[in-house]
Amino acid sequence: MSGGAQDPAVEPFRCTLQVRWADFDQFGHVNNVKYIEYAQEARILFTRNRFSSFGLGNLPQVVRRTEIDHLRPVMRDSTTVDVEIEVIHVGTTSYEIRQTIYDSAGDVCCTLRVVMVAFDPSTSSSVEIPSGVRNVLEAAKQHAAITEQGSGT
Amino acid sequence: MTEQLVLDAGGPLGISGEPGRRVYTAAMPVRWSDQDLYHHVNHARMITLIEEARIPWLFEDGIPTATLAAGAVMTDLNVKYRGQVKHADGPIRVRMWCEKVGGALMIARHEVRGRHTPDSEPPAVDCTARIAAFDLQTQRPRRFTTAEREYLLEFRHEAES
Repeated sequence: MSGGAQDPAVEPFRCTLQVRWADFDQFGHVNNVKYIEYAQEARILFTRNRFSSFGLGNLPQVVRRTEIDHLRPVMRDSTTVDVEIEVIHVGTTSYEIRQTIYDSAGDVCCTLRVVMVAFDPSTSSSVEIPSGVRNVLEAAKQHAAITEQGSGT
Repeated sequence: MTEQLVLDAGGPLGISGEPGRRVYTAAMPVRWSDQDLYHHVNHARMITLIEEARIPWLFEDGIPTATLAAGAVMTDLNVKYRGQVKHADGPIRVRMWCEKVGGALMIARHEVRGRHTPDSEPPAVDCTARIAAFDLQTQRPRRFTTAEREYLLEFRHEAES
């Protein structure tokens, strides 16, 4: 990471999750379905961590789209995985994130692109992203874009 | 900045108590997906959490019963759900000991409490499991080794609290 003042609210969000014995399948690696569960768990923590200051730590939202790339298996020697979340697009009612799942050794095992939609449970329809949340997402997106540009040159 | 795995389960973890009253306590994080429509941990997921809790007690490398990881089967499971466990109660605390240690079969006891419930209060879940050592090659039960038996016997006592 480069020097200078860092605003933790715009840095990629990263969390550590427990890998359960029941997550492994007959091949001795984490079953593909479980990556969606890890991704969801990380999004819950992300929402709580980033939106709580607006009283929206439980912001109602739903998944619109999930795209997964499985790059390498998570094997039995990983008792935890890390999940990183970067914001890549912010729309009116939806936002898109990139999630990266790392094994205990720090290797990338899986990447996901997920579109989340702000949601009103009483009408089961999408709503505009509340402004406080939007600001947080926009700042995180810009930070992610600058970081990517920097690493690309 | 990494949000670390929080294992503060509201009480001491690992092995505690004198021989004859010895228990193993494990902390288990509750996943969002463990909840059902009623906003509490689903009964079937609770069994998965209890299964997971037995791993640091019995199956991790370096533990005398780690050899059981190569083959151990559940022959009977009794789960009493006395109270609800919510996502916010996690990480849950699972206290475990042996009620009986036979030649090839043990009776494991488990008490599950939320992070905010002290051990002096009744557990939310009370679970008794009969687990047999099993040889996957021959597909038959096998006897405990001396080392396995000795370790299990350290945790053997009948009633608890």
